[in-house]
Amino acid sequence: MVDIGYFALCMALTAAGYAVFASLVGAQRRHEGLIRSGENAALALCGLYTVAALGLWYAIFTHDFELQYVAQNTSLAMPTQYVLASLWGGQSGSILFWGWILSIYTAATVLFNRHRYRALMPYAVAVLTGSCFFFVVLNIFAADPFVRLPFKPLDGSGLNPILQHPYMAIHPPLLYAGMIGMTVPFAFGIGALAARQLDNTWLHAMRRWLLIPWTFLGGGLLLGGKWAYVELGWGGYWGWDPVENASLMPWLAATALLHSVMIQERKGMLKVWNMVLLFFTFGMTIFGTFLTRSGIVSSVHAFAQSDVGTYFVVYLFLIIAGSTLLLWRRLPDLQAETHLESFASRESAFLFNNWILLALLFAVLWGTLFPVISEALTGEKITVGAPFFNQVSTPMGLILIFLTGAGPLFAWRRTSKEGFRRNFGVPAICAVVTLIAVAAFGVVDFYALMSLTLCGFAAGAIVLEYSRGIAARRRTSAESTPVAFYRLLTKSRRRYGGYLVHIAMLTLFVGFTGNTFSIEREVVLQREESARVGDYTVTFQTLAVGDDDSKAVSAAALTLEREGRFLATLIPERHFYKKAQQNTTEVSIYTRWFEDFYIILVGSADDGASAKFQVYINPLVGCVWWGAALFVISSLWTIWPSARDRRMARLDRESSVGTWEPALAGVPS
Amino acid sequence: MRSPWRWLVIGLLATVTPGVSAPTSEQIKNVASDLVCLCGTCNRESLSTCLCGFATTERDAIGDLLSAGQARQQIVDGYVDRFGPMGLANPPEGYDVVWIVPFVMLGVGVFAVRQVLVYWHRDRPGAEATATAARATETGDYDDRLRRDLDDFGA
Repeated sequence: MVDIGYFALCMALTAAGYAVFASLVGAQRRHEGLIRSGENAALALCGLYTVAALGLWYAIFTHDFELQYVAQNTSLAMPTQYVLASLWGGQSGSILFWGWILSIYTAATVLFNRHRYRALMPYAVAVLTGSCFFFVVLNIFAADPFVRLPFKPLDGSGLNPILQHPYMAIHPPLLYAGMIGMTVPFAFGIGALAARQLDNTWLHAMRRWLLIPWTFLGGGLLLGGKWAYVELGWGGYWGWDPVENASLMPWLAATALLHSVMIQERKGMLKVWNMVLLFFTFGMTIFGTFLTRSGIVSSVHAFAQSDVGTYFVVYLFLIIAGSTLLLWRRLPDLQAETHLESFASRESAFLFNNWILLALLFAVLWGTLFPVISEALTGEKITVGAPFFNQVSTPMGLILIFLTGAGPLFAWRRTSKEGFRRNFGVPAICAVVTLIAVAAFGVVDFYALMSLTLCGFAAGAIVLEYSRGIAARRRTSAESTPVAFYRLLTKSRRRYGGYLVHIAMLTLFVGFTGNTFSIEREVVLQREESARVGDYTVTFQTLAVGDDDSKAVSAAALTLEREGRFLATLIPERHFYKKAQQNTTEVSIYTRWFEDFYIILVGSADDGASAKFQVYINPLVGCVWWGAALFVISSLWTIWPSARDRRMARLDRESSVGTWEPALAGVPS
Repeated sequence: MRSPWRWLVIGLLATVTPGVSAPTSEQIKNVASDLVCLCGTCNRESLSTCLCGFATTERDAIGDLLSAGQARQQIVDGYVDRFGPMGLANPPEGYDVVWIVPFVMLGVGVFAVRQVLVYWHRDRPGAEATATAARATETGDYDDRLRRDLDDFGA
């Protein structure tokens, strides 16, 4: 099976090369047979990649330690569910996994667009299969997961213990699906430029294929935060790790693009900018992958230093050079169709939205790369840690919250003074009420006050938008309020689903603001001794130790009370993984509506008579998880095709049956 | 000084002499928050929150130094002397550029957006007529109808 996997990988190289060739030549010669053949090769590529991935998975499940990858990333003692995750736990396996997901995206793009966007498709397929070609080359020449050792070890090294967690089994595939999926909108962008089909058609294709990876990436980032919160044991969920930043940056760029593309659709403006932003978004995914895999930055998530970095640099250069050249040649076709009528318009608001998102992106990029730049220039190693990122991103985050609320309040084209008063009145009142309420609760921190006040403003703006939409529906169709709300969401998924995403973001920001109110204490307790932290009383009852094949476990039992009432028994643990010689913590969390009581076992006396604990009280942290869930649900709601979309797809399918002429009409010879 | 005054003096000295009282965990963590863990396994996590053996030992050492009367800056300097400037959570003095550049870029961005808006606004055709039409759409049912049409277009 392993040999079949390797053979399939080599065949995938041929299939990818052929798909690129057939698609490009087919498009140039308007040869429908070749174009179809290129698409079929893309489907075959997906099949071959699947065989290669299954080959490696088979070796992992059968503990074939003769394979270097299996020996380095798995062990006999690993629980079965984490053996599954070993496929993407190491460098070469994760590159194979990356290519496999890309090939699935490619096949999905081909299958979903058999009868749509035909002029763009040959070029899009060429770009997608060209990217697959790069990853197959990486797997064969630089990071081969099928390399055999000269001997067969009795056991393997195993996966890093902190990665052996259910969230960690889901988090990387989600991030990969997000990062890799950005290739599809990029392919449509290149396709539109190459085919000179620069009307709104390609934007529709690009936008939907952008929303899918954007959702995956956002969901993956938030799930990674949840993993860090419950597994890493430092009481937080976002540490500004370079690898986390590498995933955040393309998400920020894609968010900017999702907003600015609306100006192009409605006003025919920002055509060049949107192309640049699209290329930049894709470039950031490759750059982020380069950061993670080249070893140039230090990270708990990074792969070992290897020479794949050189390949990524070359690939990135080709992407930048190729796309810039193509864009340069098409500049005359990308002239703006209209002009700005007023500075007080939604067009301006979207432009400022782009500004703040990209400024935030730049700040993250700057902080991530500064140690590398500094060391290269001065030879001195320095750290740019969480305090920098928190201090820089907080004011930018506040501006972003304000724009989240203010953007939809501006009318397209022009907002008159009267319209301004009418639109901003309710949100402004909401902001003032929130400010008074928050101050009444005793909040004095400036940033926390500002953040919650602006969240109140933005929430007021969104509620206003919904209420106006509901009122408009009720006027014309006499629907009840819940029915009108539901119809609003289903009839205009993009606009009102988008507002749901905004609500999710506001919920997240409220959760982030909760950090300001966190209480942190370290306590050393004897058995039966209590400590008071905030409003809680925690009592250390007992300590148990245990041992199995893979790890030694210490577990403390504590009772938690509040105002004399028993709340829960908490059992924080400390694990020592024998093979990796590594300690990990298993935190214990008691969750209430508005806060978490979070306790970590730091250490204990040999006789178990006393133990040291780290305690955090994290207010509003639940908002982060609720916001994350709402983000995923509302994004999926927005992506889901409306009845109109499905009708249009059916018409496309019916109208193109039996002919390729419409497909090739827009292809330049 | 055999009188009881001797014990009083000693007692007073004990209360006012720095370093005699044990530092609280908050004081230790406050100093440690300026530093990062350099154990090599975590990603330079804050020394105040990292739970590895290295960080725990260093926090204990900070506690000892605070007990001995050392000031925050002395302890931080000592850590940097041992491990270099990469032990600091923030770049050391002389690296102000790291803080300045993001905000300069923020300002440059505002300027760039302004320039783009001015460029778009300039030479717009039929400005007066368009403005009148736009004002007309601000009021009345036409606005709602237009919004619905635009929504349908964008759905």
